[in-house]
Amino acid sequence: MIGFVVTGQTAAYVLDAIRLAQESRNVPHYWTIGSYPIYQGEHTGKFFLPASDEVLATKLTKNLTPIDLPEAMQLITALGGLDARLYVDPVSLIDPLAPAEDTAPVEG
Amino acid sequence: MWDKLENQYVTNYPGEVVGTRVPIKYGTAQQASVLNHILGKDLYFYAESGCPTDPDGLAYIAAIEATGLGTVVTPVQKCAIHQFYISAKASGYYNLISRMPFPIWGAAAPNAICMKSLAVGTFTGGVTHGPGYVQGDGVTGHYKFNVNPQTLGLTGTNSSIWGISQPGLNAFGECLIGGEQSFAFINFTLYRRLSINTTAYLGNQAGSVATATHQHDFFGGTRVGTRITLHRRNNTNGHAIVATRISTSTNTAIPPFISALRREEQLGLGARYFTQQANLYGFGLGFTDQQMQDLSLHAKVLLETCTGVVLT
Repeated sequence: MIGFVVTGQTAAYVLDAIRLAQESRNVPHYWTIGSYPIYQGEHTGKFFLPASDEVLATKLTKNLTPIDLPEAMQLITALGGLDARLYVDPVSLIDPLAPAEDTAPVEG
Repeated sequence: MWDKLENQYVTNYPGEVVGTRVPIKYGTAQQASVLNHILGKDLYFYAESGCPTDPDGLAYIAAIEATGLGTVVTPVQKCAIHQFYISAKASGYYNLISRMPFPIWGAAAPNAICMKSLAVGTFTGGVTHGPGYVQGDGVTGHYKFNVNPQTLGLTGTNSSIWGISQPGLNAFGECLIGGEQSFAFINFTLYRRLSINTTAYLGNQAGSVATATHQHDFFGGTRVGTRITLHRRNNTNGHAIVATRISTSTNTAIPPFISALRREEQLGLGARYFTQQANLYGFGLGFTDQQMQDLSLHAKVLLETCTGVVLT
């Protein structure tokens, strides 16, 4: 996964900015990148913000993607630019304490 | 007819622009669609007569078209959408639907809109918005409904959950739609997992009902009181109630959150992201078996008419 690795406070700021970019245009909050705690590896304790080329090219409407919005480039610049993105192993986003079994036991 | 001001052809249904193609009024919406598929390079066929409309259908179509440039609902799609609302109300389950987005539009803004309430959820993380489907990346992508099902009247003994999708692949379970709180105790989910089972949990783990051998099909679980049923429909086998359970458990809570393309959860229980194409998902109050059977048919017709997706 490609994206930014940030603190929890920065993650909250970025997600809030994404929300405001939509609501300031009088549209509902229908899209965000989300933030995901990093559980394993060198970035343990920080948060992952998905920002791959595919995510930044998500079709918001037929003719609009996130990278088209001026706020997007402002946020990306504030986070260090596209070159500041890192590769994060998807496994590191899985809580190692989460149960491995796929279904809950059946009762009654 | 030719619009002199704009130098383009338009139909009178209603003022639809067809550019340089010559519009010809012919037959029903379905007939026109077939001819356009075959002959639609220089000609554009549109329906001779309109189709019945529904006020909620009009509102949903308007909401879709208002999301931005390029999101156009075709006449064939409009007819299919109106027919869904008409059929749902005739079958008596329309008011039981709490949330049902129809994510076929190829973009996040229209895909986030609920057909019943026009409420808007939030697509989060890596989600592809393809023609006729959405598909999460399996690690971050999901859709938050942004509503507590409990506030909509759902309980562990009065709820339903459904969806149309390809099977999930993950051996540890992929959740098409659902939520879970306090592992194994407060569970409202629809799992789709290839070759193992599809499981609906309604109220608690006692709601587990399962079937095997998956295809691209509709699954819907419904619970009223202690009786839980899992319905399935595809084009190979038609409709069937594939599992029935009478729950004796007294633990009937339902979680206060729900997402699609993953199991919304807390306490690090494991989100169980969905990795395959999903065409439709929703939840509501408890349906009768006949109502869930009807929904499975109406949803199938809606999807297949509006998109190139065909259930197997």
